[in-house]
Amino acid sequence: MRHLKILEYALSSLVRRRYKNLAILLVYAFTIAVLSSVLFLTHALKTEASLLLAEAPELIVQKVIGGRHDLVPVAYGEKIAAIPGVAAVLPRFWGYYYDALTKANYTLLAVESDPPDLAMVQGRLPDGPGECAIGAGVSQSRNVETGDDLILVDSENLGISLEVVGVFRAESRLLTNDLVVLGQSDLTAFFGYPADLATDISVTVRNPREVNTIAEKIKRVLPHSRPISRSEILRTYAGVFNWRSGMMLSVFSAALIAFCILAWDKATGISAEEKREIGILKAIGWETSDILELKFWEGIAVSLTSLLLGLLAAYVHVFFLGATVLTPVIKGWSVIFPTFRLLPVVDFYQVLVIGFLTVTPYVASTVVPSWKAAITDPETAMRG
Amino acid sequence: MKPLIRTENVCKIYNSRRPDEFRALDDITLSVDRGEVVVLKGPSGSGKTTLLSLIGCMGRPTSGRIVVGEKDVAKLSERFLTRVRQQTFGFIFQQFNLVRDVTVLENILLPLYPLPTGFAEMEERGRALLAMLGMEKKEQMKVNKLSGGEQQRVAIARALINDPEIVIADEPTAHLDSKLSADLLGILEDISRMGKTILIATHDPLVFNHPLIHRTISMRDGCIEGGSGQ
Repeated sequence: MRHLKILEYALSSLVRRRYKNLAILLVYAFTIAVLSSVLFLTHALKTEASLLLAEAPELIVQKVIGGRHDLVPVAYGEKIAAIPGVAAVLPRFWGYYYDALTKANYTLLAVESDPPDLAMVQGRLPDGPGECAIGAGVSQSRNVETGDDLILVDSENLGISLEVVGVFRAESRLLTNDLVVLGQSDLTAFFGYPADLATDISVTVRNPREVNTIAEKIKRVLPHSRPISRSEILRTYAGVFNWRSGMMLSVFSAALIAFCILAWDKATGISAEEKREIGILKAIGWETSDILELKFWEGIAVSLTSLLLGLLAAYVHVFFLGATVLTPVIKGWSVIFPTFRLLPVVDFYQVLVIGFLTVTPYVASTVVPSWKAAITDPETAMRG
Repeated sequence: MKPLIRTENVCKIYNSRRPDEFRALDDITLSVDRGEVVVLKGPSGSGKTTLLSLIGCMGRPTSGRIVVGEKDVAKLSERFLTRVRQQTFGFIFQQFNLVRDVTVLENILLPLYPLPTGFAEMEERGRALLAMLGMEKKEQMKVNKLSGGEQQRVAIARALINDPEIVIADEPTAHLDSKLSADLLGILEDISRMGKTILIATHDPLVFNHPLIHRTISMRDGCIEGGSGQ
């Protein structure tokens, strides 16, 4: 009962100083929102990348000449298949296409090159020349649906019309968002690929633990090749996103420092009016612990409300508004993809860390100066 | 009969051993019996308020003893000092010392917040006091919207909410006109009839000449004039 009454008085005190507390709440919530947005976005992108790569081949073999990625001879496949431990080999035909009309990058992929899970398709995959299936982002940016024609400009600068026979609606939009799947003959003709060359070769390994050994063997058999394992790509993605979020947090640290100064200012002194009130409460019989409890509830109420508001704002910003503010920094080149909505994934541990790092210092900065006033004689404290 | 309050050779020195050292009280010895209404009178700076705040456990003497009931409060820890203040004293301050922007009823109930008394009982006690002081229609008003006399009544109600044994009033008429001062003395008379011991610091003749007052102790420059307040 006693705690409930002190909590009630703490809430009424906050309402009394509503403008000051509202200002602190807004600055505080904004700080948490930016911090959480960076962390949410980084985590969501890493999750998207993991989802994307979960279906990717364990090993991809590219050809590199003079450090430049080049088309790989289909004949490499036979040499790779002959390596013990290799279960299957599949030449893949794909390429990036810059669409000047929508200023977006699409990925064109041959249907024979093992496109993403068929269950994700609405309509069907192309099964003949002149047909394509497209991702939701392409559908949206070009305003085409199943049954419409998608016109792209090929390597000879000619407009090629493809009938849209399906639209991908994937759980992970990053996976299929920018995708245009078409027949292999259409794709090689479109990019002007010679008949005996593929973009890369995907390799399935019998024992996943042997991936690195197989990669070394491939490198030995085919010196111009560059085998890339799935875990390497995942590590690269994680590294890039972590580095970018670190950069973003460095820039944001100015705002964090400003907030710390605000908290420090609060910690090093309370207003004469607050001191006087503490003095009055002491004089009429409140113990030091009662006053600390009162200030603790005040701190908790402000910081938890700010935390919830900040987290909510960050969630809406990242997962509903597409992280419009942070996207150019965190996603880098991928912004030229058709825009996509991230899969809402939040790391509970991350939320706990944000909560701990923001709520604890604020509560401390509320309680400590009040403790100083509360241990002063009521008479002195009442003078402010 | 043992006195309810006893001070022995109480001294209070501010900024001790510094160039601006100030001796606010010097060798004060006095006693107050249960049910007595005692006035400490004297000019500003004579030490009345300091003495009241030490008796009311709001500060500690630099030396000497202050005994309230059976307890030497000068030796009590901060925690027990607060308990004594909470259970024994009700304060009526010169500046009223009400919490601004809080309603009349809430201000009156403030001393009960850290106690286990339930909300319903708290409100019942608060309303009874407001009725006694003729303030029942103003319980939801913010105290800063009240007149000086009304604020004084709220301060009195707050002082009585814990049913204290001793009521301490510091310059209670300082901000009141003569009519309101007379009203206040009427209220103090009622409180005295309830059996409470009342200590008043004042330099207002209207107060120390009032028939309610049992005894007057004169102070000057931190000392009791005539040497004793026994």
